[in-house]
Amino acid sequence: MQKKNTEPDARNALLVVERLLDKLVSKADYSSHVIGFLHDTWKLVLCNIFLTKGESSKHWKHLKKISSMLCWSLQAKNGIEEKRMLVEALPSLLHALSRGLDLIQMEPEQKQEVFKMLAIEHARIIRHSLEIETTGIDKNPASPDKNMLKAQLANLESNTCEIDYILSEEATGDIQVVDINTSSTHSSSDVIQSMDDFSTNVQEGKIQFNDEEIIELVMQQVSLANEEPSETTSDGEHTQNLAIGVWVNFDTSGTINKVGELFWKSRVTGKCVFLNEQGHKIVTISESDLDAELKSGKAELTKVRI
Amino acid sequence: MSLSSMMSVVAQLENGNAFSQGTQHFGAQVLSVKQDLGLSIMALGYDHADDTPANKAVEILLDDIELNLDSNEKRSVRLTNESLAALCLRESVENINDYLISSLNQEHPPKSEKIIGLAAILLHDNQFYCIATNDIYCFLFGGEELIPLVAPSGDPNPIGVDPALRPEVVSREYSPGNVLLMISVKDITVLGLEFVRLTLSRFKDNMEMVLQQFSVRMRRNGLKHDPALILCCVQYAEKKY
Repeated sequence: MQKKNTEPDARNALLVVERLLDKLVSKADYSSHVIGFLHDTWKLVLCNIFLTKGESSKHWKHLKKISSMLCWSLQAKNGIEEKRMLVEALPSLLHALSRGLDLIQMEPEQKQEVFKMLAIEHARIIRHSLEIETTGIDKNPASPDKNMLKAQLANLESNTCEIDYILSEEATGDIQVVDINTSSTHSSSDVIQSMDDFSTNVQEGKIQFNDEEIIELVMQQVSLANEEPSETTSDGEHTQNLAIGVWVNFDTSGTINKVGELFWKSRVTGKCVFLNEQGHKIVTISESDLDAELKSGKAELTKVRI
Repeated sequence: MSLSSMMSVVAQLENGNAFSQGTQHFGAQVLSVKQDLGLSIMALGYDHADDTPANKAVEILLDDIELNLDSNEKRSVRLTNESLAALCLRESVENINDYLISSLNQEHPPKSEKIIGLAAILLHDNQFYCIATNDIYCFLFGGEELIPLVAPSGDPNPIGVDPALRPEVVSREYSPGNVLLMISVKDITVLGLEFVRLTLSRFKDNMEMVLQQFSVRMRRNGLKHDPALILCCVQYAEKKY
């Protein structure tokens, strides 16, 4: 058999990855360091998995989730609940990032710099969210800055509000949120250092957790699937195992009768075709769109007996 | 009795490479035979194109048919207007069309290098199902007659251009001794319908001889390449190739 030309695969991989990253960074204002990391470094990890494992592999799908989660973690958080979720998700996220960077054989020193940058970013996010919450005023709009580190540190030092949580390690190695309150005595730079140390501990495997479960949990709660480009093939937490013969109600409001059986699907393109009880086509939909409808509650799985 | 023992299939590329199982390509042509599914596929890109869209089309069609044709016991709905095999073929070709159109919007090569002609023959439940678009003929040879099943219409209808493309599926019961032929318009024009009919009538139990005759005919008409085609012979006691 004639050997396949690999150049179109690399070109296709780059196209898919760049589209994914463009979509993710368009959702919020990220610092130049974050955007640089995503487009220069993380892009290599994405391309690596796309080319070695394939677009339909679970590795690629997992990596997309991690990418979405990373971007979510770097967006401003509203309220205690979102901050709590960020704190709980950080170990798994950082561990997953570390494993991803190992794939492209990043030097330990470079990796350290990446995690230091992320530690500062996450600390800034949490502080920024707290400021809005307590003062109602956005004093420090998230915008890229060339001397971001210096400017942020200076800003943080001059601020009266303190980061309000402490992370600690128990003897078992599990990371726990010890306390959340508004009267911490830790200075901002101490917190950044703590997060930096924390990131290092994650990298070195001193912290134990179940990555995939936590990532899944956070993704479900914040509906991160909506941040992923709908053009790319989406596994969908709801449609991944959707088998032929499953029935879906496409109108949960009950206004019209639009219930169909998944009669035909394509594993390669993600297209799904639903027929009603009479055998007529009622819906042709992509897996990603179906997943979005199931997540939003517009559609639901149901059982129909014929 | 398995499908693979009920028929013999030979596919030939323009460079003369012939095979009876698997997927092979030459230039922008891709031919695929999957005997356990009873599926044969021909995908033809344009002269200056690479084989990427044709390869992708074959990949999608193979996977779609494999997944959906075997899952009937899981379905509650019973089709009345058409058979499952016909629906699967039609949905898959439309699926490929949608995929190529959406990928065309993002990629830089000109559209003429990304559209393809596609044809497939599927044997299922004692019937064969045939679908073809643009520049590919499908014939049934039986009772000494060469009957066109799907012939290109006046208007070109390649895959990857028109989102409203609704290809027709033709189906018939097959009988022992039937031969199904997929071949491009340009090659059948060179060979001639009557020559093809006579050759199949004389050598229908020896596909190797059929291919040799076609090859000689092409050379006599001044062409250096062999015709790209798929021949599918149904229910012969002996499998000669």
